[in-house]
Amino acid sequence: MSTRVESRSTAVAVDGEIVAPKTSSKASRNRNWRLKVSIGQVVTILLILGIWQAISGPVIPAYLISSPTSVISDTFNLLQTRTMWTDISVTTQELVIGYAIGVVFGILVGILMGSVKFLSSVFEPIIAGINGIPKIALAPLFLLWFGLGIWSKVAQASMIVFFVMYYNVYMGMLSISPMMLKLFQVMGANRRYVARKVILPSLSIPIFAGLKACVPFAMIGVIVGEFIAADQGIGYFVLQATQQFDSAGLFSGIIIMVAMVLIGMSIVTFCQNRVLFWQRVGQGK
Amino acid sequence: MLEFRNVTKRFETPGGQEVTVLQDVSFVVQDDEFCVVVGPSGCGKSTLLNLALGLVPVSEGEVVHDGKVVESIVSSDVGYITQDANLLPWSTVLENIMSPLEIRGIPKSERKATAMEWAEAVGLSKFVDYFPGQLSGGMQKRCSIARTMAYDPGMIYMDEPFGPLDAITRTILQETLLNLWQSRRKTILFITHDLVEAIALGDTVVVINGQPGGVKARIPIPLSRPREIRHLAADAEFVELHTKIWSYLEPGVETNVG
Repeated sequence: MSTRVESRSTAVAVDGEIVAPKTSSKASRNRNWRLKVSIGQVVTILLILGIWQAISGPVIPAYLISSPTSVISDTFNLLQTRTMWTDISVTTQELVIGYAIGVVFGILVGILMGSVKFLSSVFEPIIAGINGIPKIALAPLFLLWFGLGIWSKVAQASMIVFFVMYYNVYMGMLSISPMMLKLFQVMGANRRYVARKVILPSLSIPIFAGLKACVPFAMIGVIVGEFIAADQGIGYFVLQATQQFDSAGLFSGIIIMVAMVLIGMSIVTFCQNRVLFWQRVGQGK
Repeated sequence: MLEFRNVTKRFETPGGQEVTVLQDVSFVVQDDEFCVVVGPSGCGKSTLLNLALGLVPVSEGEVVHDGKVVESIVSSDVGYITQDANLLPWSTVLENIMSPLEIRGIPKSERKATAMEWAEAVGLSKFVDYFPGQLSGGMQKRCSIARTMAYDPGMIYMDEPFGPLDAITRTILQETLLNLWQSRRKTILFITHDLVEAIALGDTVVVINGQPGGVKARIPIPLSRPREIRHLAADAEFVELHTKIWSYLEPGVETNVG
């Protein structure tokens, strides 16, 4: 391996961070910096929790904001009940199905619109118009169409996810270099080869960006659906807790939602790291 | 052999106006000739290349490649080296060089051997497993040259391939290109706005100038080969050619301003 490339590769940004060259002083400075950042984050979180704990009761009534200790014990207790796991399972189903439908259609329509000029000329303004609808306003309509069960929530989630995914993929299609396509045509590549080797890999970046962005969006759709009308699910649980002034339960519900979103995001990140390995230049070989 | 016969190209602007980019262009590129087209930016030289490649249709006249009129994208026996290296960023150097061989259905072991050979020829043998993002601009360009040479097209079109490189890298790559061409003759149509590059590389320099662009001169370059490009500036014959060709470029420069 030549030193020329090695010195180049170490200066390349990975995930927004500059990878430090392998000199010991810089490496230790970097470690120090990271340690300081971690300490700063932990202190901030502890401070917020401490203040929260302190003002709960004496300053603000506990039924309004609960307190970290009761939220933690409440979450712990809830996770040992069967009904909470039923709620989690229902919400997970709605989330996964809604996300999958939105993602698949978003990708397909994005590719189609990006490859057929006539379709995009006709439908782009129409899609933009529909995207203008505040999608949450459609929740009652979905309830009417798909009933009280999971499908009204699935519809709500996939509706939101679709647009995010569609715009990511469509823009991704437009950003593929026309020069690259010409070059492969001149090299004699047929459409299938170009699709497989040029277009799909190019789209992997916007697709993964979309997949990540869509996890919390899908959760919004599902929870809104459950707020409107449901008899199961985390959103339903949170709403019930609120109506009973059970703020600890409310916060526990939110914590569980956040955990679900984070798990979803880390699954996407895991897949992304396996697929977009070529983007991690500068890792050395 | 490549022939431009009274080629005229007009474009329609979005406003509906017709703009003539090339007017009545005729010249011939002989087999195994290194022909360089030089002209200021905006004279239509890239359009000329697109016409030859069949990427855009001619308005009048015809382009004839090996006896056949070019009507749509010519493939299989032509190579195209663009200003940007246009490598696939998700493929390694070796995979990039192999891709046209893969397109041609050449068996895997054979295409790997050929690609290795060309990686070596352009000085990238140690970097075959690198991704393009890990390479410098000059090395990326070497890779794109290897990718084109690997499938051995009879005719290669080059559109300002060394334009974005720094002067030192550019000279070194010009020498690499000449060495490759010397050992494996091909017909090359090379577009540039750099007069020094044009004289250094070409057997023939075709000067295109004006708006619309037309052929102002077709000048044979009698400099002996192999040429040492880095020492050319001191060559009296080179200086004479340089001065001579400049005279065809001058009036166009004025009309192109503003």
